[in-house]
Amino acid sequence: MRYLKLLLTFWQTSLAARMEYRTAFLAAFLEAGLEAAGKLFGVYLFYANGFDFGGWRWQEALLVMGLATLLDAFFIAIFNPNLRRVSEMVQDGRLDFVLLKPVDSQFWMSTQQFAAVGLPFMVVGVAIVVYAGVISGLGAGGWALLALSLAASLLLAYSLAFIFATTAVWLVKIFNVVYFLNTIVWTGQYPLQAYTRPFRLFMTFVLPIYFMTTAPAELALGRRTALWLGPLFLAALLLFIASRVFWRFALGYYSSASS
Amino acid sequence: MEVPLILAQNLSKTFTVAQKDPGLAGTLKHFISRRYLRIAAVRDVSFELQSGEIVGFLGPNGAGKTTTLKMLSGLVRPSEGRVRVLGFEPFRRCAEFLRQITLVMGNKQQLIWDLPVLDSLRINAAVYQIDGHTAKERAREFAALLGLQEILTQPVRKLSLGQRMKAELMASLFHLPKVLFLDEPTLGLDVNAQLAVRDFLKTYRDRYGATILLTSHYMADIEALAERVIVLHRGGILYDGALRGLTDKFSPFREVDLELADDVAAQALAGYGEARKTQRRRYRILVHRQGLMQALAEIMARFDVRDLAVKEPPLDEIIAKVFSEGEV
Amino acid sequence: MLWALRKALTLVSVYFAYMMEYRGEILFWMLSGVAPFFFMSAWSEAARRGLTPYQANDYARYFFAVFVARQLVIVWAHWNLSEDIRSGKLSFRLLQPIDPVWVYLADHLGERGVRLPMMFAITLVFFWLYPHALVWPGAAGACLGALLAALAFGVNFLVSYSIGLLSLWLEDATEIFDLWYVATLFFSGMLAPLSLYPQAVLQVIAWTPFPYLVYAPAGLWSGMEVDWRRGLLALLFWNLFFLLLSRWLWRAGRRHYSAMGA
Repeated sequence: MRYLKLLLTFWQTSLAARMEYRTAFLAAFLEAGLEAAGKLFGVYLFYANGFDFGGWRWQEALLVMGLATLLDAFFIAIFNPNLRRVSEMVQDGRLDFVLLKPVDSQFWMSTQQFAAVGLPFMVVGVAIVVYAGVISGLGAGGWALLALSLAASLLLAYSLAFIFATTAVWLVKIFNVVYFLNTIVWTGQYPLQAYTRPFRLFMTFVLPIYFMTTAPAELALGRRTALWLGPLFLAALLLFIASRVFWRFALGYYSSASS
Repeated sequence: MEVPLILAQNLSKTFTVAQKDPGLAGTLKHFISRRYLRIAAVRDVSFELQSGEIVGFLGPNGAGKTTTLKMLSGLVRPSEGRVRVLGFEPFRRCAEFLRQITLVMGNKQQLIWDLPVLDSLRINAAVYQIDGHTAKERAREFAALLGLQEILTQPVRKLSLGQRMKAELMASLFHLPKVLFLDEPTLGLDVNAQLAVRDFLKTYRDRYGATILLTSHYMADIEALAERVIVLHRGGILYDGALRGLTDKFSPFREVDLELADDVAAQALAGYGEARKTQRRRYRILVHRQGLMQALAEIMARFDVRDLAVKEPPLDEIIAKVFSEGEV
Repeated sequence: MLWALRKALTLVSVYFAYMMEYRGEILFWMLSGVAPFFFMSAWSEAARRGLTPYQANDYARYFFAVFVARQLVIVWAHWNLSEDIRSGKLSFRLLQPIDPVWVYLADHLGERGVRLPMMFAITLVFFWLYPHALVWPGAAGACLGALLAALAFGVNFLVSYSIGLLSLWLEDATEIFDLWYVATLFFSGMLAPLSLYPQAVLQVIAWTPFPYLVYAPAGLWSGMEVDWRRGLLALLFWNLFFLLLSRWLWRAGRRHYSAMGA
C-alpha cells in the first residue's frame, strides 16, 4: 500500500515535470502514429512479396507487432527513464540518498520516473493488440492467456533491463546499453519464425525476445497449449530473482568502493 | 574627453516568465494555457567605465547584476538603451569584439568535464588563434600564478572545486582579454582559494592592463580589488562611486568602543546611540556621524574612560542593512 | 585560411580525445544499430523460400551496406544543443569568436574517428559469418557511395542542428528529432530495398529527403539499381535547404535566447 502511494507520487511529479514540454508530447503522439504506420508498412512489404513469416496469417502477425509496440511503450514510459537514472545517480553519487531511505532501493530505482511521452505509444499499442485480437477471433480464454503471458513478458523484459542497468555500478556510463536493449525489443515486431535459424536461436536463448512477443501471441492463438504459461512465468520469475540478487551484489560493491 | 571603454546608457531588460501552480491541477492548467509574467530585471541603468578601472558590482540576488553583465558581453540584447564595449555593440558578436573580452560565471563551467584542462586550453588556443608556442608559454605562466602546475593533465571531473574554478579562470583569460566580466568568480571557494583568485586577478590587471567589472557575494573580494563600486537594487542603480564613499552615504554611524573604569548599565549610555555591553566595563555604541564629536566630548566628561576607539562598521554589514531596508 | 584549418584540426582532435573517453558507450550505440541485420535475416528467410526477386546473398550485401551507411550518418547535434541550452553552456559558446555550429560539427567528426575502427571490427565479423556477401562495388561505386553518404550526413546534421535550435523556444526539442528518425527508419530503405516498395509510396517519398539518406549510398555499394544523379541533386538541394533554415533559426533563436536571459 505504501509502495503504491509512493508510486503514484513519483509518477505524478514526473508527469508534472514533463508536461512542461507541450511540443514534446505532441511530437510523441505523431511519432507513435507514424511508427505504427511504418511497422505496419513493414509487415505489408513482406506479405506483398509473398512471405507469410513462416505460417502466420497477417492479422496474427499484427498481434505480434502490437505486443511489440506495447512492450516498446513500457520501455519508453518506465524502463528507459529509470534505468538511465541508475547510471546518472551512480555517476554523481546521488544513489547514496536513495540507499538512506527506508524503501526498497530496487523499487525506488525502477519506478521513480514516468515519461509521459510513452503514453501515446501505449494507446497505439493497446489499439493494435485489441484490433488484431478481435479479427483473429480470440475467445475469452485467448484474451486471458494473452493478458497473463503479457504480464510475464513484461516482468521478463523489466528484469533483463534492470540487470543491464545494474552494471552501471561498475561501468558507470551505460546510457546506450538501454538503447541497445530497445533495438533488440524492436526486432520482436516480427514473429520468430520470420527469421533465419541462427537468429531464431539467438532470440530464444541469448536474448529471450521470443518470450516477449511471439510466445504470448502463440499462447493466445492456441498455437501452443496453455501449459506453456508455466515455463514462461517460471523463466520471468527466475530472471526477476536474478535481477534482485544481482542488484544486492552490486550495492555491496558500490558501498565498499565509494568513499 | 576620452571615449569610455564601456558605456551603458539607459539600459533596461524585461523578461517573460511562465507561471505554474503546484499539483496536478496546476500541471494540467499549465499544459493547456499558460500565464506569463513580465519581470523587469534591469531598469534604466547608465554608467561608464574607463580603461584600466576595476569596478565592483554589488547587490542582492536578483538585483540585475548578472543580466547587466550578460548585456555587456553580448549574450542578452537590451530591451531598451545602448551598450558599447570597446566601441562595439556586444550583441552583434563581432569576432574582433569577442577576442577582447571574457565572461567568467562562477556557477557555470566551460571546461570539458571528462578531459584534462590542457585539452580545453588547446581548443581555446585554436579558437582564439594563439600559436602553439605562445599557448604553451601562457599555460605555464598562468599555471604558475594559480598554482595549478600539477593538475593540468588530470580530467576536470577529478579536480576539487577550487582547482576547477582556477582552471576555469585560466581558460577564460587564456586569450588575454582586455575587458573582464566576472560573475561571482569566487563562489563557494574556501578562503585560501579566494585569496589565490584575487591575487591572480590583480597580477593579471597589472601585467596586461585589463579593465574589470566583477560581482561577488564576498565583500572581501570587492574591498581587495575594486576602487569603485556600483550598487544595484531591484534593477536600478543605488550608488556609483568610490568604495569609501559608500560608507559615508549608507552608514551615517560610527562604532565607538569604550572601556570604562566603573561598571555601569548599558542604559546609561543609551542617550548617545544604540548601546550594548560587550564585556565587563566594555561597551559598544553606534553613534550618528554628525553628533560624534559632541557625543565623545560628553562621554569623556561624564565617565572615567580608560580606553576609546572609533571604527567604521564593517562594509558587508552596511550593505546588508541597505538592502534589507530597501529604498534609502 | 591556414588558421581556419588549424582551428578545425584542433577542434576535431580534441573531440576525438573526448570521444575516446566514451568508447564503451559508442560501442553499445553501434550495437544498437544492428537492426538491419535482423531485417537481413527476415528477407533472407523469405528468399530461401523462393518468394522475392533477390537472393539471400543480395540481402546480406544490401543490409550490410545499410548498416554502414547508417553508422556514417548518425547525428546528435539536437541533443548537444538542448543540453547546452539547459545547462547554460551555450553562453560560453556564444562568448567565443567562432560559430558554435563548428564546435558541434567537430564533435561529430571526432566521434567518427572512434566509430570507424569499431565499425571495421564489426565488418570483419560480418564477412567471417557471411563470406559471400563480400563483393567489391568497384572504385567508382565505392567513391560515389561515400560522397552520397557524406552529403546524407550533411542533411542529417543540419536537420538535427535545426531541431536543436528549436530548443531555444521549446525547452526540449529532442523528441521532434525522433519524428525525423522514425521517418528515416521507414522511408530510407531500412525495412527493405526501396525497389521492393510499391510504386505509389516511392512516388511520394521521392519528394522527401528520406530515400536518399540511406538507400542511395547503400544501394550503390551493394549493386542495387540506384539513380545516383538524382540522389546527388536531391541531397545537394536538401543540404542547401536545411542550411538556410538553420541559419535563419540561429539568428531568430539567438534573439529569443537573449529574451529568456541567456
